[in-house]
Amino acid sequence: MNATISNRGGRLATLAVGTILFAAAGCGGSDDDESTAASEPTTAETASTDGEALAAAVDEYAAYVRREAAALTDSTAEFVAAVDAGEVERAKEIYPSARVHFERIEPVASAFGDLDPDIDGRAGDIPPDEWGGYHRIEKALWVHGSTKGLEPITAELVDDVGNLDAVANREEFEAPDIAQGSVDLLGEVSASKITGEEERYSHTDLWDFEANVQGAEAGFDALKPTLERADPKLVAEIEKQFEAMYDLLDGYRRGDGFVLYDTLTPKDTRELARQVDALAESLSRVPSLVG
Amino acid sequence: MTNEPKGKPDGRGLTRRGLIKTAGAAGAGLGLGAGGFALGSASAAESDDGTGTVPFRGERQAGVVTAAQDRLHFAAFDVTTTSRAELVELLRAWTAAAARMTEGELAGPRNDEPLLPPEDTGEALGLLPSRLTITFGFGPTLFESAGAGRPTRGAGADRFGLSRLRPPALRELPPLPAEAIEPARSGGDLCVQACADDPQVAFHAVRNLARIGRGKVVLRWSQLGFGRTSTTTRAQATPRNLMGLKDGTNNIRAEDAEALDEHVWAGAEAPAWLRGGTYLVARRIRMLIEVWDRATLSDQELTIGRAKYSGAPLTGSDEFDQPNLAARGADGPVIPRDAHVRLAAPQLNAGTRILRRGYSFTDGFDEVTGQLDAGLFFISFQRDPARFEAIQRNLGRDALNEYVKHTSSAVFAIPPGTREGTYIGQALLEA
Repeated sequence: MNATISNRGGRLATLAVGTILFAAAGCGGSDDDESTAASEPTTAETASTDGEALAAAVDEYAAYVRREAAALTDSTAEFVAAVDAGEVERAKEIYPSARVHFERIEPVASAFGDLDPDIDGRAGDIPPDEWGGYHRIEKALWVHGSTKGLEPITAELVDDVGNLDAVANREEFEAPDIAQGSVDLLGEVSASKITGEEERYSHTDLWDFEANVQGAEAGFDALKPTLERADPKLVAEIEKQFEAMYDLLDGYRRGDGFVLYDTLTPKDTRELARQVDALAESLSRVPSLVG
Repeated sequence: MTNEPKGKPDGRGLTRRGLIKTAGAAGAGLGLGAGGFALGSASAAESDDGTGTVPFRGERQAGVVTAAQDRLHFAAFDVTTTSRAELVELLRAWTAAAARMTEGELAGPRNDEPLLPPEDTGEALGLLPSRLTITFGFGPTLFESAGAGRPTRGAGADRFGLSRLRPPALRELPPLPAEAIEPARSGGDLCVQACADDPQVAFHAVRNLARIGRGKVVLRWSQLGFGRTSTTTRAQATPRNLMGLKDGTNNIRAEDAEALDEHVWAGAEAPAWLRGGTYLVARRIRMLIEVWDRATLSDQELTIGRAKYSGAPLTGSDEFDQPNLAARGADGPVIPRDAHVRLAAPQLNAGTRILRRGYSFTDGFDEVTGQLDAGLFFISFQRDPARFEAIQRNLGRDALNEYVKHTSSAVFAIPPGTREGTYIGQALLEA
């Protein structure tokens, strides 16, 4: 992505589960009383239930991140093998589905150093002599139809994905940042997928689009038990919007993937953008409910 | 204004000023502004109640350090004539018209020929001078033969014989982070920056200059700005941009003569015709409004490095407190590593400062996404466009890039001002 998602400066990083429990227990009181609708009777019992639910949410989301990071390691290995073997057509075929595992957990990459720009940086956003990662290879495959000279780039990509996997296995998360990460993933859709800028050579933007939505949904699903108590109406609204989002995307499925972005009409993109906005707007209410 | 030009014959011919005085005398609801104006422009000069005028003539062009007016109409032109004499004729005519219009006069002398179109298009009749400034600039392509880089126009190699006078610093910007440049609204041979406190006065200026130029120049692109986002004098309060943030708190002000000399005015490094002038960089920065609007308050503040409501840096309590980039909190720097104020800070840019003079804009909505097409039309003046380039490069990892996209780019050399009897760019064309 062209930019970091939120959770900068290590906000997403390393918060012990104890801290999360503490934060959750405190949320009925001091700093944020109106944001937790669950704060009707701030009994120890409720707080502890909320705390457990949040701890479970964090565990569930962390497990999701680990699974996707592992899958990305595998899919990247397969993609890189094809590139290194000079199999242009095969590499092009694998490319969009190899990337979805990254797109699902992008906020994690964004929160740690240069992993996001290194793996997913786009031309122009990075000085030409530093540009590597998936999109550099995308350009070589689609524009030049060649894999010549890409060995250092593919080796670097494998390293960077390995680092992301290490981060996924090492770091712990905070509930509000999981919620914010979901909103940010949809921000990514609005900023670069809906305009076709992300996959400007391959036009496989809709693969990324769906993966971002899925990643946002994973964060929401993990937090749902807590949210159900805090604001069941909001949960119902968000679920309705996710459903509408997938319904809309279904119209563009072809085989295992999607139609290419450059076949979409302005009416199509506007409809998609509108639904992303509707979904993201409702999701943006979540961070304050789990903080 | 309620008065119609007709029925108000005036022995000296119809002028905008004359009309205003008449209307004021007739008590036609002009209020204090007109009364003040009737006393003479000297006392009203630079007043922002509409009556103020900013002199067009002077050592430097107006519209650079002039207290930023509220409205902008910026236009870039391509020169279509291949005749150097016609280019000179155009610049003479533009200079004369600009001098008149900034005084609140018609663009040209009034004619009463029934069978001729009026010299002035008329929509500013009855409007106050509104501190109109008109600033002219020369783009890199003016010094080139046709077809160098940007789309072909004009003809012949070095069409005006100016290439030897082109400063090396005058060139289009290379690809920079966070941009999706649209060539159709970038570049240009000439630019006109019209700023005024009344949008119709600014529009009138560009329209009449375009009209005067017909047959010699064509409009390449233009941009309207509806609200200033920068402060160029100490007396002005810092305005907010469309992100709801105070912008350019650290801007260079008109009073900082030393900083202007160091960072804005071109010196001995520039060719003689440009010394005392400057370079204008224009960038249309589209804001991804919908995405920004759903970012949490905390995320917005960490993105910029300032508190939203007070404008104070996250390390301070007052807007004008200097950001403390070294301050650390429990999780790392208080002003995050990728915060906009950090990456744009002079300390991280070899001390570089630029004079910003941007305006908020909206062009309706984006056809592709249905989202608001709005943002900041960024204008900066600096001694060398490379200074802007270096800062923008440093912003490659700016957290703000998640919410903005540069969609146009242009660079113009802004020659020094004119005296009575000289025309804009004379030192260049008669060098």
